[in-house]
Amino acid sequence: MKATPPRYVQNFLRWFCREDYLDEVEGDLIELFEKQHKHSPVSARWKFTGNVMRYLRPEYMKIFQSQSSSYTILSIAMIQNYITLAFRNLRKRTAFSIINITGLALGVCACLIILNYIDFETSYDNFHTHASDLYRINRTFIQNGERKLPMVMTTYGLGPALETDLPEVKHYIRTHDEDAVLQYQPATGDAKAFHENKMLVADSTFFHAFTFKLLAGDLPTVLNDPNNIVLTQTIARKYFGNESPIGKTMTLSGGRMNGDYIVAAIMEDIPQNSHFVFDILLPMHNLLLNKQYRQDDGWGWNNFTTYIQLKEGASVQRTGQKLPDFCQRRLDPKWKDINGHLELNLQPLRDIHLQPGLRLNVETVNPGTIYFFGIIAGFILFIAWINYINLSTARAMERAREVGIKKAIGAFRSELIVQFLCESVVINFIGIVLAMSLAVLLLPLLSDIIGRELSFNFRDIRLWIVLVALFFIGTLASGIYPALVLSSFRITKGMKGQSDGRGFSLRKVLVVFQFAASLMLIAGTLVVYRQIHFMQVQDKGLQMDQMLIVAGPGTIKWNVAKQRLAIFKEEAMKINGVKEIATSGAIPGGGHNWGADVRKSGAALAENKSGSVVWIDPDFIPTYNIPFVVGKNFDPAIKSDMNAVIINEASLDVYDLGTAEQALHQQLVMGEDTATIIGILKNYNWASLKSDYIPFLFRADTIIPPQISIHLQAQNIPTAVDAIGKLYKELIPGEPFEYTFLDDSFNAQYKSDQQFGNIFGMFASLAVAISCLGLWGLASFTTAQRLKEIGIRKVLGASVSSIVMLLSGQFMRLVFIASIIALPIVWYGSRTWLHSFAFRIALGLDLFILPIAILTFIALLTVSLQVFKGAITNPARVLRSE
Amino acid sequence: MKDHSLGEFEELVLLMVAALHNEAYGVAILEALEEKTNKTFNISAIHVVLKRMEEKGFIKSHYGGITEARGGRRKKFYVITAFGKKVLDNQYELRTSLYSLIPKISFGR
Repeated sequence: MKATPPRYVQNFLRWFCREDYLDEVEGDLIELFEKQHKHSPVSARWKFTGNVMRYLRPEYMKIFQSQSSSYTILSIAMIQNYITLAFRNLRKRTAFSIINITGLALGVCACLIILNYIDFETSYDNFHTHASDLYRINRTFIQNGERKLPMVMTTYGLGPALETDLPEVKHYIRTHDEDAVLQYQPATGDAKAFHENKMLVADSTFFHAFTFKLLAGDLPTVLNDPNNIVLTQTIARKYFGNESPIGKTMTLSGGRMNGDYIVAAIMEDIPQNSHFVFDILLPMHNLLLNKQYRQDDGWGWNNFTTYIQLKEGASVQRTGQKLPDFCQRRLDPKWKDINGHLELNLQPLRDIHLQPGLRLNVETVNPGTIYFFGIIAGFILFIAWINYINLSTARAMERAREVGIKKAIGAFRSELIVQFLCESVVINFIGIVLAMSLAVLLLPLLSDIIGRELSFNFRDIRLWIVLVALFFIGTLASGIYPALVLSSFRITKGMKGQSDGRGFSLRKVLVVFQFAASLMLIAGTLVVYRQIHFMQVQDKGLQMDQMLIVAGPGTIKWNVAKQRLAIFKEEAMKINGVKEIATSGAIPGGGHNWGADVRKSGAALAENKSGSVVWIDPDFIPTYNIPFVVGKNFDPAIKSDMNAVIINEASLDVYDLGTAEQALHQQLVMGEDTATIIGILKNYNWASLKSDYIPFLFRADTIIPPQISIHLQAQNIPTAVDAIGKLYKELIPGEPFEYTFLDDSFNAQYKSDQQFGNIFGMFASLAVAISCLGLWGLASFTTAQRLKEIGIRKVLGASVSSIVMLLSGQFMRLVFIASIIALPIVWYGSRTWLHSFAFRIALGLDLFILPIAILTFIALLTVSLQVFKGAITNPARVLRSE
Repeated sequence: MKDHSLGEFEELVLLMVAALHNEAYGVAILEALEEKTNKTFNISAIHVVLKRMEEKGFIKSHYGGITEARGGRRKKFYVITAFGKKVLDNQYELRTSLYSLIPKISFGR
């Protein structure tokens, strides 16, 4: 039997090898094989296979061979030619190219900015070296089976107990917020004193666990010495200017840890992407010596945030499983009486920023918002790519002739596809470069809108990956379809200047999609802005306008402050423009003084419900103009009045007090205190309108130093403020005079919503702009296509207006279809979003009609210019040639 | 522009094509080369070199008849062209003229 080489290998050779070389190659290989086969059949087979593989080189392969001649599809010369052609085409139709590239660039630019934003939001606290081992302890209180909102605040005994009981814990780190007046007295000149409300008191382990950059001093050990203080760069500059702060003495007063402290280290300002917001750091030691905590057994005051660092390699799950047992032993006995128990959770440090919904938490972002922005980014990118597809295929009629001629002189379809793809590569490349430059330029301007200082990090490899990916996907996504359509034209049809009707229905679908997306964004923006506006102007049941808030004295003793402020109130009333003046422990939008456990007198301890207590002076209710349902204000002349409590309507149901009339003169137990209800106020929005009315309790004192509210007359506000400032400094020397207006500080609560609205609005306008660019291009081409038809219609007596109607009608139909698609989505989306607000706008019909009207108007404006130009052309000009 | 250079392996193959006049095809060249030089070569390397030299115009080719052997594939015979011969001559002249420059020194022990 005659030996034959491996059949598969031989077939493979025949498959890839060029016909004209096959005789020589296969013949020689078989001859060699037959000779070797006599010596060793096995090695001959292997050698044959190995030899075949050696012919896998371009000059022997079919795919690199052009069917008719010696050049190949991918030859450099042809590609150069294609690129030259692409640029020529760009130049020939300048306006068209500008629209095309601008649309693409805007879309990609928006996408890049959103990606950057998303990247920033998800990078929180990633910079700590031990970030993966760090956890915050959150606690949830469960009473009678009812889970309360989880809280981040814990007691100071928790950290040490966790360290002793759980072997997995390497360090515990407790932090405590503090505000006080910090003062620096230079050797010569005036002292510098400021209210500092972003101070953080922390355990000495703080710098072992968290990674912050140090500018001077020794960070790891700095918190060991109880009298050290650490400043951030900004604060150091505020007090010391260009002097070196290290070793200088600063004085704290008006807080829990008054005394002298030595500046021992300067650290860089906290990075923006950290959940920590402090600018001064103090050691824990002195805080725990404070009377409030000295009297506590370590499990009373929930004023601390506890973090733990797990030992390397320790399992989080296993540690977490030990927590219920820990709670039972250490924490729960205390809550047995009221049938409650605690649950502790380990929250990964990196997740803190993305988990909203914890009480007393730091600023967070809902992951839903981030996904949502991601979807918008995708939307805009699609709109931009669709634009490209639309505009390219719309030019089909014009390009058909070119394609026809090329085919007639022997071009293959594959070559034409490559040519159109090259064009797409050139446009996408210019678009990407433009988009990146635009994004870099715009980002600083956008920091106000987004509320974050973002920048592009060009050393980040991921940025380049995204750019390259956008470029390739964009080129293919937007280039393939037009390339296929354009290259498919028949020679004869193309030469006659007709394009296939194909692709037009798809184009319509794409335009409908674009407009539906734009409509959703416009309507969404409108809903967000309406809701924010509503929250700002809605009557809160409180006097909000012309309300000047002055921070009360922080450094002097409570008694002294009360005396001084009594005089201040009296004197200030004499100032022209001051209507009313009151002092209180907190102001609207600024939280409460005490989150107390409250129940009706006589009710069981287990009936305790939370309530917000604020101390006010007797002038507070008149100053804020809160109407009474029944009862009366505190009267300083009647002693029992001053021990009483004034509640709001929302408290009635919560504490089971019956009607307002029935509630009057009943008694409430707040913590250890019992007080008689002497008045019931109409509900008011003390906090943001996102939350519903909650039980609010006012207690009284003659003067409450922390906050001074002054109701001013609408005229001459600046002069009145000046006079008040002068009086304040005169009566309370050495105190900073710091003021805000209540409506500003209250509305600052809506900052994140406002930013959400701004970003939404920005992208909505972008989407509309891109869509309109596309529509403009489309209108100009369809009009050009129908010029002859228009000419004939005109000759037969059609008026310009009827032709305009005819042509714009087809676009308006698209807008109409888009509206029908978009509206249910808008309705559902807005309803879901609005449900997070306790007080919200109704979804009126105008919220839907207005966006449609806006979109129709813009679309009409875009289209009509083109259409009108077409409609007024002289029929003789277009009908002359045929 | 045509490349007139001649690499070392190219020169060997070209010499062999000239030597095997009218009988030079892939396998014959390979076997003759291996026999003379005592080295092993790969057939694909020889094919590539032949193809390149044909493009340069040193050799030309024609097909032989179809036979039962070689899986029915024709042999592709190569013949040296006048131009190829001239290139070889030039190369030879260059070598001998350089060789003659070596001074007559005895290298013996």
